[in-house]
Amino acid sequence: MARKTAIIGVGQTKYGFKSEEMTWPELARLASARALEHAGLTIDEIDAVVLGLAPTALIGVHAGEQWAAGAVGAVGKPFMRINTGGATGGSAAQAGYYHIASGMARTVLVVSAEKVAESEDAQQVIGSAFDPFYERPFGLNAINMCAFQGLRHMQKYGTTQRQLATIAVRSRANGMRNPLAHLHKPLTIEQALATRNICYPLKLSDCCPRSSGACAIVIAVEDVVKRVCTRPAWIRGYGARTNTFHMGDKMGPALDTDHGDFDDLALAAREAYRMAGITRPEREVSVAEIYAPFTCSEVAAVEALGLCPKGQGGPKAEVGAWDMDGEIPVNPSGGTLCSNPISATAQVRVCEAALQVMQDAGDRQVPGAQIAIATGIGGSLQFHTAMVLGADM
Amino acid sequence: MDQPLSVAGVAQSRYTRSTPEERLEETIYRIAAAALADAGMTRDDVDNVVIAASDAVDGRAISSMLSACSAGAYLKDEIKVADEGGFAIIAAALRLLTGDFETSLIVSWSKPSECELTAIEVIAADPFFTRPFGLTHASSTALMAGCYRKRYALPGDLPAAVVAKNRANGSRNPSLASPDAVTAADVLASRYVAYPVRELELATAADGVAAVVLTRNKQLCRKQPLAKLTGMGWATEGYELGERDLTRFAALEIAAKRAYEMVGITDPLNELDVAEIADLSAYHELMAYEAFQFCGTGEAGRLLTSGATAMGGTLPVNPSGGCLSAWPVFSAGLTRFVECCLQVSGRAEGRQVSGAKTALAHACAGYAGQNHAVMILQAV
Repeated sequence: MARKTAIIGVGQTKYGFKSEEMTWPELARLASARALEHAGLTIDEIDAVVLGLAPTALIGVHAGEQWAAGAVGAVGKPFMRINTGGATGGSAAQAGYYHIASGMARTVLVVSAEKVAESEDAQQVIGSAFDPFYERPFGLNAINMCAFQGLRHMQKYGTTQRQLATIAVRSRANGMRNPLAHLHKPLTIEQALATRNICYPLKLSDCCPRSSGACAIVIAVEDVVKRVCTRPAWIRGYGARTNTFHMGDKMGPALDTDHGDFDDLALAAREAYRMAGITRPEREVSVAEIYAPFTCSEVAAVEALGLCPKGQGGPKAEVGAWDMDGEIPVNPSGGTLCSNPISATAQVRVCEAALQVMQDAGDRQVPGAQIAIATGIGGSLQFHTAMVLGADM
Repeated sequence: MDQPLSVAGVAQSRYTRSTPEERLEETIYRIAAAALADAGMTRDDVDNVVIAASDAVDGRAISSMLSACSAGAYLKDEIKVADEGGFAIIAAALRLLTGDFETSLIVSWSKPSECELTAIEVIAADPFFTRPFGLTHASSTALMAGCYRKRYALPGDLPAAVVAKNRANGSRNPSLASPDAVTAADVLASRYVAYPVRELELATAADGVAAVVLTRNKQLCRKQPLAKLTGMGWATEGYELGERDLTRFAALEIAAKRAYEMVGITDPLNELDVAEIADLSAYHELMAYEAFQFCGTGEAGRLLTSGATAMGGTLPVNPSGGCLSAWPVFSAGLTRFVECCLQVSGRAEGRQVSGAKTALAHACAGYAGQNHAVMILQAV
């Protein structure tokens, strides 16, 4: 990381199912305007724009990035769209970093936006990701693919449905303190365990909603940061890994990484920690914003990030280790279990992590947060991103 | 750019009307492996992968789920740019210039034989103002062409001469599977798709895959690199045709200027030896001449007629035959880049511009040339 870079502005919209009052480009524009305002810059002071937009079938406009060029202030500027499925927002943030760290731009706006309610059924769209010859006929979709991961984790480590339910309860409690969260609805453990089965071991309360909304960040090079921002979120490290599409290849004697474990995320995080000089993440990380669309995703992710040993993700959640007053607060924003604007979700994690180290997270602030990690997952749990942000350079 | 980047290897498939014998993932794997072999490298020598692909053209949501590992990304740091293939070079160059990465494998593809392109173009449009008009590549090109022709009183048969030039070039390109030359008379006899644009004045959709190995560390090259990437620029215009001046490519002017400044080019017509331009229509090529400052505004027709852009001219444009001969829809910009690498390394069999040292590659996407990328390649 030859050039020092930092996030100097964060903007988000309220997340909700329909966001009927705004079109998709208008959502992108609102988040962009808020990020610029937070950074204290005007759009004329932005050198380049990166847009995160995952499957366009969800918004019903195939060339969404072209449609939104004006709305996100990209006209006459370098402009690029990133799509790595659910990891899109994490990859877009990394692409924004590349623009600055390469020396090709001094300020960049990165915006990711979703309007999922424009499609009849998100699962139908996401289901078209699967192979038409071998897999689609089985009805494979995002929910059962993640349930397989959870089931495998249960089988390997004895993780229980009750442990998973505590993750939903904590996420909803945290979401109550986040005015932008989609689900503003507290949940008790009894209520969680009484919700209907979706796909074993996942019950309804273990699953994220589908949301609309947008988020944006402004990234700048060191001298701009020092001129305009008193509490930046320094980009200290990042990593990404792509794994095989075929879930079966992540099981059995020939596996390199385990479908139950997010070993691929561990590789991405290891890279991010190496850059950031973090050797004991369980002690050094102050707060984690984890892309966990299902409770069972969080269990594997906290282990992959080294916040606890393998197999301890469930028990640790159950004893409150990741609560706001626990060892390492996980998803103070309420996380993906409270808001899942698909194209934007992984960037929401970056936004929330940035707000934490900027000490600007309002009622969901982890006091004195110094180091935050944000993650993203896309594809068949196969695209992983991690970014470490720090209050200090 | 802090430093030039070295092109260590390239590969491209043959460009065909259809490819029934191979699944797309198989072609991607074969070409990605061929680019590594061309560089004398293995996958272990690459620390990151950049791909560019379109979910709609590939016919599935998040198409990289299946294709990323075919492109060499297994357990690598891989990112997918959902822009024209030329933008994958830009993204990879940005990554390498951070200093965090050494060597990128860049892959882009399109298999239009397995999709209905016009249907995709229609759903590319916003549903409120644009889609009801049935705006497509052809109809948006026609609106642009009409404006340009009227403003500069372009002779009606002139675009046909662009097609004849590029198709004659294409007939000598061994990577094209059906390199039929056409004459200007053939073009003028073809039907209007959207007035004033005729069928043969539009790019010819073709299946194709291209791959490039790019490194910032010349020491890592196992062989003599093919080329140096020394300049690049990219920019977009607004979306609404009504807000734009359709007689010029304003975003391309910005992108070209930026790339020229990095290399120190002030007289592109004479300083460039070869250009591979995104001729999505004959009009795109003519208007690009002006945005690239090969000539003044409104003078593209005269530049073409002078023979300056023909093989043997001052600046041959599209010796490969361009998109008018074969248009791998989403990846055409990466094909242009590969062709430029072959030119400056003297490997452009059958279509070589003799002594080519400096080449310009161009990528273009969107209605009437909304989004552009420009890359300058130089001999090592």
